[in-house]
Amino acid sequence: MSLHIFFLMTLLTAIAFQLGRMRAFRIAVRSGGLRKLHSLPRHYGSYTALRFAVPAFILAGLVTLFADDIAMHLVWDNLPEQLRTLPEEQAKLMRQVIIHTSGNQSPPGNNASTIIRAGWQLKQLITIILRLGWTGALLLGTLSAGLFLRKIDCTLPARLAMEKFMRWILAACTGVVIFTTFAILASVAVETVHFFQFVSPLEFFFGHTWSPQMAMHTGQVGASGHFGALPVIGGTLMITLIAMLIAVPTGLFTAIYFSEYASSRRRHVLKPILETLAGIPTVVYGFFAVFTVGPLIGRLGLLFDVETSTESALAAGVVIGIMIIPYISSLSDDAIHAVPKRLREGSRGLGATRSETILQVVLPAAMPGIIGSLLLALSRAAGETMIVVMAAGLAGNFSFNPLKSATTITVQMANLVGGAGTFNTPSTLAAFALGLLLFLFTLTVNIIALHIVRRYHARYQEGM
Amino acid sequence: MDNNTPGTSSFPTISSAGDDPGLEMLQHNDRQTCGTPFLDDPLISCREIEVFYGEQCALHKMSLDIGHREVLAIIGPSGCGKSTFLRCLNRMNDSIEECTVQGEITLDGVNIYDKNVDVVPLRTRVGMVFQKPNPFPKSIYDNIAYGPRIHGLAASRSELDEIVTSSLQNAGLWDEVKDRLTSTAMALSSGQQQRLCIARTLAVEPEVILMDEPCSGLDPIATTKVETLINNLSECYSIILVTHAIEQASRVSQRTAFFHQGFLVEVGPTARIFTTPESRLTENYITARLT
Ligand SMILES: Nc1ncnc2c1ncn2[C@@H]1O[C@H](COP(=O)(O)OP(=O)(O)O)[C@@H](O)[C@H]1O
Ligand SMILES: [Mg+2]
Repeated sequence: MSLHIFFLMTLLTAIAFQLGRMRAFRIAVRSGGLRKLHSLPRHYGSYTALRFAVPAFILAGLVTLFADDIAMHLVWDNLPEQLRTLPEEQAKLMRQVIIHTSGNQSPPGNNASTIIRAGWQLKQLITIILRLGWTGALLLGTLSAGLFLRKIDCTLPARLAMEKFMRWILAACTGVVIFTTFAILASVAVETVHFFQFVSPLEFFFGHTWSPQMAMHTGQVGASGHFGALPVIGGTLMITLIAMLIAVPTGLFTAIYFSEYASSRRRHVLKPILETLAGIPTVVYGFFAVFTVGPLIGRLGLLFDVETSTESALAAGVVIGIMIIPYISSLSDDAIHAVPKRLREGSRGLGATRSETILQVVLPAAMPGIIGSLLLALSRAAGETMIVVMAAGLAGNFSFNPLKSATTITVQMANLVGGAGTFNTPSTLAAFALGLLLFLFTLTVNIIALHIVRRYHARYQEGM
Repeated sequence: MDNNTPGTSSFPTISSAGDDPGLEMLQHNDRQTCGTPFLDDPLISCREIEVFYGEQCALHKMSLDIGHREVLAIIGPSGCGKSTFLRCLNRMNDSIEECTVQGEITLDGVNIYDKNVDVVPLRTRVGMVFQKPNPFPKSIYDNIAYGPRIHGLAASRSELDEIVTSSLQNAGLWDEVKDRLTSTAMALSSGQQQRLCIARTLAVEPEVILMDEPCSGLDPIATTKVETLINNLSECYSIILVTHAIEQASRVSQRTAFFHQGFLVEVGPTARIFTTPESRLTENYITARLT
C-alpha cells in the first residue's frame, strides 16, 4: 500500500470520527440534551471511524497484496499458446523474466519481443489494479460510514457496538496467533512425512549414526547419509541437563537470596544487573565457552588425568547454564516475592526459622511461578544453537560422554538448512523432522509442568 | 513525672483530630499511666519500653505487667501502637529492618531481648494469631502439624495425630473439619481459617497467645465463636487481645489497657475501665465507641 494512500485513509478515519461525533451532538441537542442519547458522542464517533476504517483498510490491503499475482495471471493468459504450455520449471523462469522486464521505464517499441511487451503490460496492469482497488476501498469505506451516519439517532446503541467490536478484534488476534502456530506445525509435519518417504522412521528414531552430510553429493555412488537421530537427541538432552544442573540451583538460590535475605536496596541494585546477563548475545557466551570454560575443563582434565577434547558438551552445557540463570533467578524472585507476607509471619510466629519458613511455606506457595521460570529456562537451553556450535562442535557422538563433542537438534537444523536452496533432499528435509522432534520434546515438558502446577493449585492454592 | 512542660512535649500536634474524640484532651494530662499496670506475680513484665520505626517513635516509655491465665484486652484508635506492642512480646518486630526496641521485657524473669535469647523457643512460648487469617497453603492437618514437626514435639505419627486432634478440639474446629483433614485449608471459610490459625498456635503448646484483632475480618457468628473460644482458652493460657470492638474487650477480658498515640494511657480491671475510667481520654474513647 503506498504511503500516500495510507495517510489519506488515516485522515479520512479521523474525519469519520469527527463527523460521527458531531452528528451525535447535533441529534442530542435537537432531542433535548446528551442524556437523551443512548451512548456518548465519542462512541458514535468511534464507531463511524471503524465503519470507515475496517472495510477500507482490509480491501486496500488485499488489493496491495494480490495486485501482482492478478496482473501476472491476466498477462499470462494473453501470451501466445506455445509460451503458455511450457513445462512448469520453464514457465516459472519465464514469469521471473517478465517481472524483471516490467521494471523498464519506457514503453516497448513496435518490434519489441513478446516478453518485453508482456513486461510492460504487467506494469500497466498492476498500476491500474492498484488504483482501482484503492479507489474502491475509499468508496466502500465512505459508503459504509455514510450509511451508519444516516442511521445515528438517540436509540442507536453505539457503546454496545463498540464493545462487541473490541471483543471481535481481540478474538481475531487470538485466532491469528493460534492459526499461525498450527500452520507452522502443519507445514513442519507435512515435510516430516515427506522426509519419512526417504528415510524410515525406524532408522530415524533408533539409528545411532548421524551423518547426513554424505547425502549432499547426490552424484556419489551409494551416497545415502545416515539419519539415526539418537546422537542428536542424546546430545540435546545431555547439554540441556548439564545446563539445568548448573542453572536451577544457582538461579533458585539467587532468587531466594534476593527475595528473602537481601535488603530491598540491594535487591533493587543487583537484580537489574543480573537481568542484563540475559541480554548478552549468545555469540559472546560462545566465546566465553571456547576461550575460558573449554581450556579450564582441559586443565581440570589434566589434573585428574581424564582425557578431554577441545570441544565438549560440558563446556557448552556449563555456559548455557550460566546464560539461563537470570531467567530462573529473576522470574522465581518475582514469584517468591509475590507470596503474601502474612504467610511468612505466620510461620515465623510459630517459631520456625527463616530457612524453615522458606522451604516449607514460601517455596511451595511460589511453586507455580517457579516452575514457569524453569520451563522458560529449559526451552531456552534446549533451543540454544550458537553456543553449542562454538563450544561443542558439530559432530554427533553416541557416547553420552560430556567430555566429548556433541551436537544438538537446533545445531543440526541450522547445519542442514543453512545455504540450501531446495527442500527436497533427505538432508534438508531431516531438519523438519528434527524440528518436529524438538517441538514434541518441549511440548511434553510443558504438559508435565502444567500438570504439576495444576496439582499444586488443586492441593494448596484454592481460594488464595 | 514532670516532663510535661510545654516545649519538651513530644506529643504530635493535633491538627488532624478527625473523628478521634480523645484528641482535644491531649495537651494536659499525662504520660503517666492511670490505673494499675503492675501485678504481684506477673508472667510478662514490660518496663519502660520504647519502640522506634527509624526516627519515628511508635511506643513511648511504657510499663505493663501481664498475669498468668488472664485475658488482657488492648484497645485504642488505629495507629496508636497496639500491634507494635504486641509484636514486641514475641520479637516479631525483629524482622522489620528499621525497628528498634528499648527497655526491658521479661518472661518469667528472663529478659527476652537479651542477646543470648533464641527467638525460636520464645515464639513457641508466646504464640501469635494475626489480624487476617493466614493458613498455609497446605492441608488442614499439615497446617496444625507444622509447628510440632518443626520443633520435634511428636515422636511418632500417632502422637502427632493426637496433637492435631486435641488442638483442633480446643479450637472448637474439630467437628467441622474432622472428615476433611487432608483437604486444603484455603477452602475453609475465613472464620474457620482464623480458628485454624488459633489451633495451629495451640499445637506448639504456648503459654501466652497474642491476638491482633483476630475478629476484624469475621462475620458476627464467627466472631462469637472466636470469643467463646478465647473465653475457654483463658483457663489455660494468658491471652493478650488487641481489639477494635470495645464491646469485645468487655465481653472477654479481665483487664483492659487503653493506648493512645503511642502512650499507655490507662490500664485496669475491665469492669472498672468501662464504668469509671480515671483518664478523660479513656472515657471519651469509650463513650464515643459505645454510643
Ligand atoms: N513496619 C513499619 N514501619 C514504619 N512504621 C510503622 C510500621 N508499622 C507500624 N508503623 C507505625 O507505627 C505506628 C503504630 O502502628 P501500629 O502498631 O500498627 O498501630 P495499631 O495496631 O494500633 O493500629 C503507626 O503510626 C504506624 O504508622
Ligand atoms: Mg494493628
